[in-house]
Amino acid sequence: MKRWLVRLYPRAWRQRYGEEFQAVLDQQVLTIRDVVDIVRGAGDAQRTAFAHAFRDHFMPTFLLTIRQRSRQLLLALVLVYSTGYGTARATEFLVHTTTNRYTPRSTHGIHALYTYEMYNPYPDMNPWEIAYWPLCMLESVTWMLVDSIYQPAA
Amino acid sequence: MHDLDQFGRFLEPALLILVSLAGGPKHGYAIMDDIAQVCQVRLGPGTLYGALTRLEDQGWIEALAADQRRRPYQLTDMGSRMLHQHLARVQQVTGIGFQRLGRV
Repeated sequence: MKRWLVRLYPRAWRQRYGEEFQAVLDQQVLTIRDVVDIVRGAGDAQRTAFAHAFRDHFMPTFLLTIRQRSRQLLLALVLVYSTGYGTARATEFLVHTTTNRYTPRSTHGIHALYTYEMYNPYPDMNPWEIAYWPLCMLESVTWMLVDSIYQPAA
Repeated sequence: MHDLDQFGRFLEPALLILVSLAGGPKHGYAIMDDIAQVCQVRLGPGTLYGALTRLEDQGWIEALAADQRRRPYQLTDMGSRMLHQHLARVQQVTGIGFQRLGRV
Protein backbone atom coordinates (compact mmCIF):
# COMPACT_ATOMS: atom_id res chain seq x y z
CA MET A 1 0.00 0.00 0.00
CA LYS A 2 2.75 2.47 1.00
CA ARG A 3 4.88 1.55 -2.03
CA TRP A 4 1.84 2.02 -4.25
CA LEU A 5 1.28 5.48 -2.78
CA VAL A 6 4.90 6.47 -3.49
CA ARG A 7 4.45 5.27 -7.07
CA LEU A 8 1.76 7.93 -7.57
CA TYR A 9 4.52 10.54 -7.65
CA PRO A 10 6.39 11.38 -10.89
CA ARG A 11 9.50 9.31 -11.70
CA ALA A 12 11.95 12.24 -11.38
CA TRP A 13 10.48 13.15 -7.98
CA ARG A 14 10.77 9.52 -6.80
CA GLN A 15 14.41 9.38 -7.87
CA ARG A 16 15.16 12.41 -5.70
CA TYR A 17 12.79 12.01 -2.72
CA GLY A 18 11.34 8.50 -3.09
CA GLU A 19 13.55 6.65 -0.63
CA GLU A 20 13.35 9.17 2.20
CA PHE A 21 9.59 9.63 1.61
CA GLN A 22 9.16 5.86 1.86
CA ALA A 23 11.19 5.94 5.11
CA VAL A 24 8.85 8.62 6.54
CA LEU A 25 5.80 6.53 5.59
CA ASP A 26 7.36 3.36 7.09
CA GLN A 27 7.77 5.14 10.43
CA GLN A 28 4.05 5.72 10.94
CA VAL A 29 0.65 4.08 10.71
CA LEU A 30 -1.20 5.84 7.93
CA THR A 31 -4.71 7.14 8.54
CA ILE A 32 -7.30 7.83 5.83
CA ARG A 33 -6.43 11.51 6.21
CA ASP A 34 -2.75 10.72 5.50
CA VAL A 35 -3.67 8.73 2.39
CA VAL A 36 -5.79 11.61 1.08
CA ASP A 37 -2.93 14.01 1.87
CA ILE A 38 -0.44 11.82 -0.05
CA VAL A 39 -2.76 11.53 -3.05
CA ARG A 40 -3.17 15.33 -3.05
CA GLY A 41 0.59 15.76 -2.74
CA ALA A 42 1.16 13.34 -5.65
CA GLY A 43 -1.33 15.28 -7.79
CA ASP A 44 0.49 18.49 -6.96
CA ALA A 45 3.88 16.92 -7.82
CA GLN A 46 2.50 15.59 -11.13
CA ARG A 47 1.14 19.04 -12.02
CA THR A 48 4.45 20.71 -11.13
CA ALA A 49 6.44 18.13 -13.13
CA PHE A 50 4.15 18.68 -16.12
CA ALA A 51 4.48 22.47 -15.85
CA HIS A 52 8.30 22.20 -15.67
CA ALA A 53 8.42 19.82 -18.65
CA PHE A 54 6.17 22.17 -20.62
CA ARG A 55 8.31 25.20 -19.73
CA ASP A 56 11.69 23.49 -20.32
CA HIS A 57 11.02 21.33 -23.38
CA PHE A 58 7.81 22.04 -25.19
CA MET A 59 7.72 25.85 -25.08
CA PRO A 60 11.30 26.50 -26.37
CA THR A 61 10.80 23.99 -29.21
CA PHE A 62 7.40 25.43 -30.05
CA LEU A 63 8.61 29.04 -30.03
CA LEU A 64 11.75 28.14 -32.01
CA THR A 65 9.64 26.36 -34.63
CA ILE A 66 7.38 29.40 -34.98
CA ARG A 67 10.39 31.70 -35.25
CA GLN A 68 12.25 29.52 -37.76
CA ARG A 69 9.19 28.72 -39.81
CA SER A 70 7.46 32.11 -39.62
CA ARG A 71 7.57 32.68 -43.41
CA GLN A 72 6.30 29.20 -44.21
CA LEU A 73 3.57 29.51 -41.55
CA LEU A 74 2.46 32.88 -42.91
CA LEU A 75 2.46 31.51 -46.46
CA ALA A 76 0.50 28.44 -45.35
CA LEU A 77 -2.03 30.69 -43.57
CA VAL A 78 -2.48 32.89 -46.66
CA LEU A 79 -2.74 29.82 -48.91
CA VAL A 80 -5.25 28.06 -46.71
CA TYR A 81 -7.30 31.21 -46.36
CA SER A 82 -7.17 32.19 -50.02
CA THR A 83 -7.84 28.64 -51.24
CA GLY A 84 -10.86 28.28 -49.00
CA TYR A 85 -12.07 31.77 -49.74
CA GLY A 86 -11.38 31.44 -53.45
CA THR A 87 -13.29 28.17 -53.64
CA ALA A 88 -16.24 29.67 -51.80
CA ARG A 89 -16.29 32.77 -53.99
CA ALA A 90 -15.83 30.72 -57.17
CA THR A 91 -18.78 28.51 -56.21
CA GLU A 92 -20.82 31.60 -55.44
CA PHE A 93 -19.83 33.15 -58.76
CA LEU A 94 -20.69 29.97 -60.71
CA VAL A 95 -24.06 29.61 -59.01
CA HIS A 96 -24.79 33.29 -59.58
CA THR A 97 -23.91 33.21 -63.26
CA THR A 98 -25.73 29.94 -63.98
CA THR A 99 -28.90 30.56 -61.97
CA ASN A 100 -28.86 34.35 -62.16
CA ARG A 101 -29.45 34.71 -58.39
CA TYR A 102 -27.22 35.50 -55.46
CA THR A 103 -26.47 32.71 -52.99
CA PRO A 104 -26.57 33.64 -49.33
CA ARG A 105 -23.28 33.53 -47.47
CA SER A 106 -22.42 30.44 -45.53
CA THR A 107 -23.04 30.45 -41.82
CA HIS A 108 -20.11 28.06 -41.31
CA GLY A 109 -16.36 28.48 -41.27
CA ILE A 110 -14.77 31.85 -41.87
CA HIS A 111 -17.97 33.43 -43.25
CA ALA A 112 -19.67 32.79 -39.95
CA LEU A 113 -17.50 35.60 -38.56
CA TYR A 114 -19.51 38.14 -40.55
CA THR A 115 -22.81 36.57 -39.58
CA TYR A 116 -21.70 36.39 -35.96
CA GLU A 117 -20.89 40.06 -35.86
CA MET A 118 -24.12 40.95 -37.59
CA TYR A 119 -26.27 39.14 -34.99
CA ASN A 120 -24.00 39.53 -31.98
CA PRO A 121 -26.00 41.35 -29.30
CA TYR A 122 -22.77 42.15 -27.39
CA PRO A 123 -20.40 43.66 -29.99
CA ASP A 124 -17.86 44.70 -27.32
CA MET A 125 -17.46 41.07 -26.30
CA ASN A 126 -16.95 39.64 -29.80
CA PRO A 127 -14.33 36.90 -29.29
CA TRP A 128 -13.61 36.80 -33.03
CA GLU A 129 -12.51 40.42 -33.19
CA ILE A 130 -8.80 39.65 -33.09
CA ALA A 131 -9.12 37.19 -35.97
CA TYR A 132 -11.72 39.26 -37.75
CA TRP A 133 -9.77 42.43 -38.57
CA PRO A 134 -6.76 40.84 -40.32
CA LEU A 135 -9.19 38.65 -42.27
CA CYS A 136 -11.19 41.73 -43.29
CA MET A 137 -8.04 43.47 -44.44
CA LEU A 138 -6.98 40.40 -46.38
CA GLU A 139 -10.39 40.18 -47.96
CA SER A 140 -10.34 43.85 -48.97
CA VAL A 141 -6.97 43.41 -50.65
CA THR A 142 -8.13 40.22 -52.38
CA TRP A 143 -11.23 41.92 -53.71
CA MET A 144 -9.31 44.99 -54.86
CA LEU A 145 -7.16 42.64 -56.92
CA VAL A 146 -10.16 40.67 -58.19
CA ASP A 147 -12.05 43.86 -59.11
CA SER A 148 -9.05 45.25 -60.95
CA ILE A 149 -8.84 42.11 -63.10
CA TYR A 150 -12.47 41.07 -63.50
CA GLN A 151 -14.88 43.60 -64.97
CA PRO A 152 -18.42 42.16 -65.17
CA ALA A 153 -20.54 43.09 -68.11
CA ALA A 154 -23.07 45.78 -67.34
CA MET B 1 4.99 40.12 -3.41
CA HIS B 2 6.62 38.31 -0.51
CA ASP B 3 8.33 35.18 -1.86
CA LEU B 4 6.63 32.83 0.60
CA ASP B 5 3.26 34.05 -0.69
CA GLN B 6 3.85 32.09 -3.93
CA PHE B 7 3.60 28.81 -2.02
CA GLY B 8 -0.22 28.75 -2.09
CA ARG B 9 -1.60 26.06 0.23
CA PHE B 10 1.98 25.14 1.23
CA LEU B 11 2.67 28.57 2.78
CA GLU B 12 1.87 27.65 6.37
CA PRO B 13 3.56 24.20 6.25
CA ALA B 14 6.65 25.80 4.66
CA LEU B 15 6.79 28.41 7.42
CA LEU B 16 6.47 25.71 10.10
CA ILE B 17 9.27 23.69 8.45
CA LEU B 18 11.55 26.75 8.37
CA VAL B 19 10.83 27.38 12.05
CA SER B 20 11.56 23.73 12.83
CA LEU B 21 14.84 23.76 10.90
CA ALA B 22 15.86 27.01 12.61
CA GLY B 23 16.46 24.76 15.63
CA GLY B 24 18.97 22.63 13.70
CA PRO B 25 19.08 20.08 10.84
CA LYS B 26 16.34 17.41 10.84
CA HIS B 27 15.08 14.66 8.56
CA GLY B 28 11.47 14.38 7.33
CA TYR B 29 9.93 12.43 10.22
CA ALA B 30 11.80 14.51 12.84
CA ILE B 31 10.42 17.70 11.24
CA MET B 32 6.87 16.31 11.45
CA ASP B 33 7.43 15.30 15.06
CA ASP B 34 8.93 18.67 16.03
CA ILE B 35 6.08 20.62 14.42
CA ALA B 36 3.52 18.40 16.14
CA GLN B 37 5.15 19.04 19.55
CA VAL B 38 5.92 22.75 19.21
CA CYS B 39 2.95 23.98 17.16
CA GLN B 40 0.36 21.23 17.85
CA VAL B 41 -0.08 20.87 14.08
CA ARG B 42 0.24 17.47 12.43
CA LEU B 43 1.51 17.80 8.85
CA GLY B 44 0.54 14.99 6.48
CA PRO B 45 3.44 13.33 4.59
CA GLY B 46 2.19 14.68 1.23
CA THR B 47 2.00 18.23 2.56
CA LEU B 48 5.40 17.93 4.27
CA TYR B 49 7.16 16.82 1.09
CA GLY B 50 5.20 19.27 -1.10
CA ALA B 51 6.53 22.12 1.05
CA LEU B 52 10.04 20.61 1.38
CA THR B 53 10.31 20.31 -2.42
CA ARG B 54 9.37 23.96 -2.88
CA LEU B 55 11.70 25.17 -0.15
CA GLU B 56 14.61 23.25 -1.69
CA ASP B 57 13.75 24.55 -5.19
CA GLN B 58 13.87 28.11 -3.82
CA GLY B 59 17.23 27.43 -2.17
CA TRP B 60 15.93 28.18 1.34
CA ILE B 61 16.83 24.73 2.66
CA GLU B 62 19.45 22.22 1.55
CA ALA B 63 19.77 18.47 1.88
CA LEU B 64 22.68 17.01 3.83
CA ALA B 65 24.27 13.60 3.24
CA ALA B 66 21.74 10.77 3.67
CA ASP B 67 21.81 8.80 6.92
CA GLN B 68 20.72 5.34 5.66
CA ARG B 69 17.29 6.01 4.11
CA ARG B 70 16.76 9.28 5.95
CA ARG B 71 18.02 12.60 4.58
CA PRO B 72 18.39 15.57 6.93
CA TYR B 73 17.74 19.15 5.81
CA GLN B 74 19.14 22.41 7.09
CA LEU B 75 18.34 26.12 6.62
CA THR B 76 20.49 28.02 4.13
CA ASP B 77 21.53 31.65 4.71
CA MET B 78 18.88 32.77 2.27
CA GLY B 79 16.25 30.66 4.03
CA SER B 80 17.30 32.12 7.35
CA ARG B 81 16.95 35.69 6.02
CA MET B 82 13.57 34.87 4.48
CA LEU B 83 12.27 33.38 7.74
CA HIS B 84 13.51 36.42 9.65
CA GLN B 85 11.72 38.82 7.27
CA HIS B 86 8.51 36.82 7.36
CA LEU B 87 8.47 36.52 11.15
CA ALA B 88 9.12 40.25 11.49
CA ARG B 89 6.15 40.94 9.25
CA VAL B 90 3.93 38.52 11.19
CA GLN B 91 5.10 40.10 14.47
CA GLN B 92 4.18 43.56 13.18
CA VAL B 93 0.70 42.42 12.14
CA THR B 94 0.24 40.51 15.40
CA GLY B 95 1.25 43.60 17.42
CA ILE B 96 -1.24 45.82 15.61
CA GLY B 97 -3.93 43.15 15.99
CA PHE B 98 -3.45 42.88 19.78
CA GLN B 99 -3.28 46.67 20.10
CA ARG B 100 -6.61 47.08 18.30
CA LEU B 101 -8.22 44.23 20.22
CA GLY B 102 -7.12 45.94 23.44
CA ARG B 103 -9.06 49.05 22.45
CA VAL B 104 -12.24 47.02 21.84
